[in-house]
Parts: sequence; structure tokens; C-alpha cells
Amino acid sequence: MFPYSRAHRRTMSADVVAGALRSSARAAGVTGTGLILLNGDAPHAIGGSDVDAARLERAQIALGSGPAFRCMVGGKPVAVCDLPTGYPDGHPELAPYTGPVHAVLSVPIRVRGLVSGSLDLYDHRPHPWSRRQIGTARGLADVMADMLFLLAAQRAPVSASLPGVTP
Amino acid sequence: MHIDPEALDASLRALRHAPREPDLERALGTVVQAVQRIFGCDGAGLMFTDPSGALRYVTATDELGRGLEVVQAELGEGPCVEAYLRARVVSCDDLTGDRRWPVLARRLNGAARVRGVLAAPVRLAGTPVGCLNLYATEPRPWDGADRRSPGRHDADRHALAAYAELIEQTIAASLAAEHTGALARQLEHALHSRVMIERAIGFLMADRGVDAGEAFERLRREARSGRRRVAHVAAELLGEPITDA
Repeated sequence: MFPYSRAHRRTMSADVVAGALRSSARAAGVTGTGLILLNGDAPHAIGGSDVDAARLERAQIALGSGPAFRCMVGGKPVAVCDLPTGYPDGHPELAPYTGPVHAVLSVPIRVRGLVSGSLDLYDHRPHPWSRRQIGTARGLADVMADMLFLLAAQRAPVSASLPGVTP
Repeated sequence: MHIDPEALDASLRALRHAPREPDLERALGTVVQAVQRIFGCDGAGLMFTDPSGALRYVTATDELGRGLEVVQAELGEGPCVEAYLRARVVSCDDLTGDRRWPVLARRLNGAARVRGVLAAPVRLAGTPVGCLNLYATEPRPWDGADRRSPGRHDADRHALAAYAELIEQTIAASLAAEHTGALARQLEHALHSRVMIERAIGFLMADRGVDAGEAFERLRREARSGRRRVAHVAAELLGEPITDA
């Protein structure tokens, strides 16, 4: 089974992240989720659970602004009720490029304590984000951080066995 | 798929220099803790099947949840076992009065501190290999009026199933990164015992002319009456060797 080719690993990693973004959207009960990751200091749009989420991430990177940027700089969640409205409740500069995306919630992804990206949740309808929704998003960002760390550290001898389950 | 594999690969390379080793158990624990917090429950846990087809405790947020998992693993019955065997989300508002699992109810009677349970199957490549569960120390009407999405009747079930998918994706991340031979063997055993059950169901359907539900019930009745694992009964029916934990 091992070792996988680099191209195969890359495809598997992309499949895992795509699946995790779709599951995160269902877990949070939102329309979709997107992911931006830092490579050094440079942010990259990794993609989304659907075409609108992926477009939201690309637009933020292209314009160099948006809730994900504020989130990564400040290291805390940024909630946007409706993108087309004025700052800080919205980001009107993004609205022409983000189609039906209205409400956006960006939460930092921390890998080993360092902000490494932003998990963005979105809905088609405008609305404020509740404390509960922000808590859910934080939990999902923690899950995504551990998943990315597992994917990143390839061929590392991690957790030899799980307790209670005999190999 | 709406992912840029090149950008992902480059970002993952940047993460590779983190000072700490990755840890699958920790990552699975993160999902379980997130589930507990998000549902506002008293605890959550994760079980995987062992080579005999029995569910075994892997991680839980506390000792009470661990106890629930251990008792179900011993008895071979309960909402978590049911979720795994039937490959669907199973809810129980109050374990102590639930007639579906009489032995478990008796075992818990008196000292029962776990009441409401919600359990979802964890799959790997479409095949159930374990169970993610939530519990409350008071009777809990799942999908009741105070849920996150009041208009949606089955919001809890859908959300827990989504978290079970995140468990699968966390395992897939570990496998994609070629982390562990031991884990791969564990999951291989889990998949093997499940496939054995599915094959036995197929055999009974063809041989006895029953549907899948009835075939499964026959296997389970046989297992209960002999106090054996369903996977053991399935293996015996198929003439396959029985593997013990």
C-alpha cells in the first residue's frame, strides 16, 4: 500500500480537505465553508465545500481584504452579517465577486498555536452570527487544524496504536 | 471538487516544520471534544471495532462516557452497538426505560447516570468501522424544541453524522500521509469483521429468501441467544475462521 507517489498523496490530501469542508458545513448547519491557508506570510485560497465558497476565498485573496484577512491578522473570529453592506458589518468591495454569499464567519486555524489560516463559514441569507455558531466554528477550526497537521507531517511515526483496539 | 491541490500542497509543506509530532489519537480527541461542546452534552466518545467485531472504547471526554462504552462493549448491546451494526444514527431519550436494550437497562438501573444517548456510525470508505456517541446525564429528547435549528426536526442526527464524517476524514488524513502501519492494521480488522457481517446477510437473503433487515435480525438473535458477537455468528455461518480480540 505504501509508499504513495507524491501525485497520489496530493490527490488524497485534496480529497480529505474537500470532504472535511463539506462535512464542516453540514455540522455547522451553514450553506458552505471555505479555507485559506498561510504559506509563510502569503495567504492562499485552498478552496471550498462548493463553488460559491471557493469563489469567496479567491476573491479575498485577489483583493487582499475580507473577513479572513481580519481574522488571520487579529487571531480571532470575524463575523460579517451581510457582505454588501458597509464596513465593519460587511465588505462591500467583495460583494461584486462573491455571488449569493451574504453572511460570513471567519475563524482562525491555529496549528501548534500559530495562526496558519482561516476557516470561513457562509450563508446565502444575511444574518448575525450567534455566540453558539461562533463556538461551533471554533471547534471545527480546531478539527481542521489537527487534520492539516496530520496531512502535513507525512510518513511520521504517529500514534502507534489506539488504546483498546488490538492490532 | 473545489480545491486547489497545488496551493494545498504548498501550504502543507509550510506546516511540516512544526516542532511537535502529529498525533492521530489527539486529533480524534479534538473531534470528540468539539462534539461535546457544540451539542452542550455531558460527554462524548468514540469506539472502533476490534478483530472479533466488538466495539471497543477508543476515547471519551470523561470517565462516565468511558464507562458507558465499556459496558456496551461487554454486553454487545446498546445504542452505540446498534448504530454501528445498523449503520445509521440511533437515538435514545432515556436508557433506563428503553426496552430495546434490556440487559443494558438492567445493568444501568440504580446507578444510571447516563440517560440520553445519540450515536452515529463512523465509516471508512463507506463501511462502518465504529461509532461516535453523545450522552446526557438527564433524559434528553433529541431533536427537541431547543435545538440549534428549530425548524429542522432531525438537526441533531444530521449534525452528529457530519461529525462522524470528520472522524473518517481525520483517519483518512493519517492514512494519506502514510503515518501508521498499526492503525492501518486496526482498521483492516475493523473492515474485515464488518464485511463478514455484510456477506452473512447476503447469504441469508439468498439462502432463506429474507430481506436484509430480517437477515440481520436473525444474526443478532443468534448472537444474543449464544451471548456471542454478531461477527462470530457471521463467520460461523460462512464457514470462515473466527478471529478473537
